[in-house]
Amino acid sequence: MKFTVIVILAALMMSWTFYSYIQEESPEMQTEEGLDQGDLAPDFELTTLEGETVQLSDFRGSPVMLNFWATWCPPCRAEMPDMQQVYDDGDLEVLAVNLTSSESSADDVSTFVTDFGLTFPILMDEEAEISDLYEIQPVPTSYFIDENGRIQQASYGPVNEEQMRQQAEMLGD
Amino acid sequence: MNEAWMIGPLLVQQAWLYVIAAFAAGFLYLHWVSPVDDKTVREEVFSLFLYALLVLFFGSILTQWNVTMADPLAAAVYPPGTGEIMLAVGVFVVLVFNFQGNTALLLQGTSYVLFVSTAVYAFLAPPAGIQTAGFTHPAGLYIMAVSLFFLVLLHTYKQGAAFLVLWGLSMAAAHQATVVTTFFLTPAADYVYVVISAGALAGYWQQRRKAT
Repeated sequence: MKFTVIVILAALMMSWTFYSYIQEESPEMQTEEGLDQGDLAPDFELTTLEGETVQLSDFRGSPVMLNFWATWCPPCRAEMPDMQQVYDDGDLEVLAVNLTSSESSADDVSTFVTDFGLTFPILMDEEAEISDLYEIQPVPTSYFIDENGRIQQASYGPVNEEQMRQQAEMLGD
Repeated sequence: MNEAWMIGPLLVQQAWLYVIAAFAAGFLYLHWVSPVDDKTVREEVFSLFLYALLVLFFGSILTQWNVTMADPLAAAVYPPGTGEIMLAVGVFVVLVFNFQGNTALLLQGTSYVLFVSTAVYAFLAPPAGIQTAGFTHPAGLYIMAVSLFFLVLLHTYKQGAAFLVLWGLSMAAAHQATVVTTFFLTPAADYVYVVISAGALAGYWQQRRKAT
């Protein structure tokens, strides 16, 4: 009896998995902005630490890792060197949006960037408008955006170099 | 797409719930369905997985030694990858070698849990399959098929260690059809299942050594 139940369960699981693969379609291509898979990533414009203006849509044509971070967050410190490595290797464009309103001072960000030797754009979200737009709760949160500007994956918590490279590979497919 | 919820200060990710559900299924199977009825062995199997999990999560303290020296908290929360999986396999092998009881039964119990958990996880979170000539490989189905096939063999022949070795190699082959290789939700290099297989081979060798 026990084995009959197990066999039926296994058969159902395999049938459902097979069905889900043959029914699988690419995520619907939305024309509107949103935070779900396949949605256009909400566009925004922010000023970098160096004072340049950067718009997300300027990066269309390249896979982008949009990372929300703060200097006081240990997991953010854990993933930063890996982000720099992936950026240096040209696998992903990296845009790191700093939650500046949560920092005690903007100088902390400059010190952090110097200490970690970061060269990718650090965007200063001084009024928390962009973190609100992306409904950021845990920090860090990263959105992986394909070359058409569509969100393909969201990652909550720190991401290591292997995960970043795997995401870059998936965005390229 | 992965979902997450904040419950107070706690971050709960959907993928973690899938892993918990998969291992719960594995241990329930070991307890209620498998022929491993030795309570000591079942508890030891649980300990093996618990230690391996702890090493997987906190192994970065060793694998990211430079970060640990500079910023211990950052190292402790660094997400696991191939290095941490290899460390967990190493700890698994050491624990199997130090086990005083029936090693064959221990490896049999481990195999039941791993085969069932892997199949359930592939069902709950099917991995993306690669595309060849317009055909998307049902990679999750391959993984389930491999795990369930070895589960049937395990019930029939009770050769836990040997099937664990072959399962590892078969999983390495099945992951050729996935876009990226993962061990549950941990991203890993393509060769990680060969490393797991090598760990199982060491267990098999220990089992044979104790038998003679």
